[in-house]
Amino acid sequence: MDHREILRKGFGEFADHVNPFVAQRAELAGEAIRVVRAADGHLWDADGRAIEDFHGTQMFGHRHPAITRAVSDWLATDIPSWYPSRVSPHAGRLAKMLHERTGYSCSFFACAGTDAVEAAIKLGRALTKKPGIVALEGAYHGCSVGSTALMARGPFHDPFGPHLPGVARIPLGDAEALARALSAGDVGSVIVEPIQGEGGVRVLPDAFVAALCELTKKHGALLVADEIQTGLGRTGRFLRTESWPRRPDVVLLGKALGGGLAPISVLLTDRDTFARAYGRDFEGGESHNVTFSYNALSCVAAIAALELLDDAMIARVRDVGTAFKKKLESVLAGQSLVEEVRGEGLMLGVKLKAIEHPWLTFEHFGFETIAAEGRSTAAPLLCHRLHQHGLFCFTCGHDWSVFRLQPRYTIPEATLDRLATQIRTELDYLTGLS
Amino acid sequence: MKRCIVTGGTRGLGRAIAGALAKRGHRVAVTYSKNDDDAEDVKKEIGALTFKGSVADAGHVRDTVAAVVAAWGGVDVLVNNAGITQILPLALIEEKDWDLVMDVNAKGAFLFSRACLKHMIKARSGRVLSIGNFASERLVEAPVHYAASKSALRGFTEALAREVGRYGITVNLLAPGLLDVGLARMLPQHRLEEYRAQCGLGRTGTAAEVAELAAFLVSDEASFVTGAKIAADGGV
Repeated sequence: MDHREILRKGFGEFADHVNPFVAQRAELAGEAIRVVRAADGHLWDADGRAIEDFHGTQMFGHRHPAITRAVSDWLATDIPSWYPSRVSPHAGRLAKMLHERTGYSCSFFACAGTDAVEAAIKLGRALTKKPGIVALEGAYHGCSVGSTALMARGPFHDPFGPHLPGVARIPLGDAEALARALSAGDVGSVIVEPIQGEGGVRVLPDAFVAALCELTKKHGALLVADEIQTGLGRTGRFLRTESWPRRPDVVLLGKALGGGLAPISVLLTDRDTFARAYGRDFEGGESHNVTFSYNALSCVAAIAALELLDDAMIARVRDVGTAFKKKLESVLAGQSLVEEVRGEGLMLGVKLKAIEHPWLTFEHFGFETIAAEGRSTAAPLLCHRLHQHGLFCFTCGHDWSVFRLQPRYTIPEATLDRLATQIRTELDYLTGLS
Repeated sequence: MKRCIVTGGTRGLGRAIAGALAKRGHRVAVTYSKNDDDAEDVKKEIGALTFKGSVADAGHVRDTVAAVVAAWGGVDVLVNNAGITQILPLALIEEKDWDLVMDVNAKGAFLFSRACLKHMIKARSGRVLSIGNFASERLVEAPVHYAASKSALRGFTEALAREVGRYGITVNLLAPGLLDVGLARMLPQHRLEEYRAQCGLGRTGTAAEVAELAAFLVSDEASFVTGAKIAADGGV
């Protein structure tokens, strides 16, 4: 395999044979596409330009040497990656480490975050025998069929009906709506993100969290926290739900769990919960299954990532995140497009007001469908500007008025300072155009 | 056998034109701005001379033409193909963007034409073909700096054709529509569908189709065609 040749031609081959629309969007957004190297935590494009990635898939930056070394050391052994019995020692070790860090005694591994969500949906039904699922408006739990049913209404949800029956959506923060939904007695699980990511970096209010914890227990519904975005130290705690008054029955992790190298996700719960749902006979233990869920390759990457994610690293996320949020608030103060800086730790968002001038609207740009959806151009335009400076930021999928920042945990504070200043510069530029 | 220079000749339409000229037995030199690997491929495929640099850099232009003349004793064909675009609406086009697009698309054609015509006029023979775009002529949504730069080539072509016609040199503009390379790959699906709906042939074109026409326009057989804008756009 000639990687150099693949780097030369593979980007075009992606556009030709994988997803032309993703390639076009990247072109239109001015994103760096021909990224050919990862070093020192960030990326480099074919023109030698450094790119800092704020997507949040990489806790420790791209291709962290310790994780890369752990995987390559393991590949140099003759240890199997996949076990016909499914009893995988590396999965066992990873689960033990997760137990020690979270208290959850049972791990169900999968490949993608949405696999873990599907596992939670099924666990809730298998355990409670109640079909109902409550999700929040603005939710994003992944793109498989069950997860899509929980998704906020819009282009990620609407074209794919009829959806899983029994799903009810309630407004984020509406405890009365939650109580009403649960009072019917047919809800098996309530699934929430402690901080909605694609929904606009919206933190669940404390009073609503208290109601969630109390009412799910009262009505015998599984409380599922989708921490695929917020977990693994992202908010300055190993799990964001550590501060909740009741520990959720289920926590989902994914995304960065594989150290940025390998796909892996996990449903964390207690052994007793798992046994009550699936332990009647041996067959039940495999009634939810993902073929490659216990593969050693992914588990090795995850073990290496967890070894790096020590308390000092999480404290850094908390401290640097707090300082960065203050810096953003200070630098962006008085900027007329800025409504609010949101989030916790290194999961931050900037809520922007709509840009009113007609020539900066999607209608003017010729995207009538997007314009008809009422999408804001504010965050996409800001990202477009920042891309030119090697700052790979992004817009919340459901709310394009919110600009999102999820840097690597090791990012130098000087880089964050530069980002804050650049955001101000670019917002001032956009303001000047309108 | 003609001695040809194709600017931007390592990718897309330029590469197809270089290939079409080589297929007819001509010697081909290509210029490119960035990708050495692509240049290496063209060198291997058609035995082209390759020159790296910006067409807007007068030094690069001077050196390239001098090297071609030194190697082959002259230059008979220039294809001003090098071009760039940025998909930007008016509001977001900065001065530097305007300058860059105009420099590459319009000034580059001027610099290379001037450098080559010095030799063509002495030889009292030559072909200059610039690559325009349908966007400069039709009421379609296109980045204004790109459309302006391609329109500039129209005036450039007509005036230059008149000025150098007395030496038997033809100067033409070939204006492709949307092709399987270049701009079309950056356009959203609905824009492509609009194009197909408005296009007589109901499809986008291929680089090979346009390259064949380019090869004809710089051939001896096209000796009575000059100052012309020839569209290859499927009938928009």
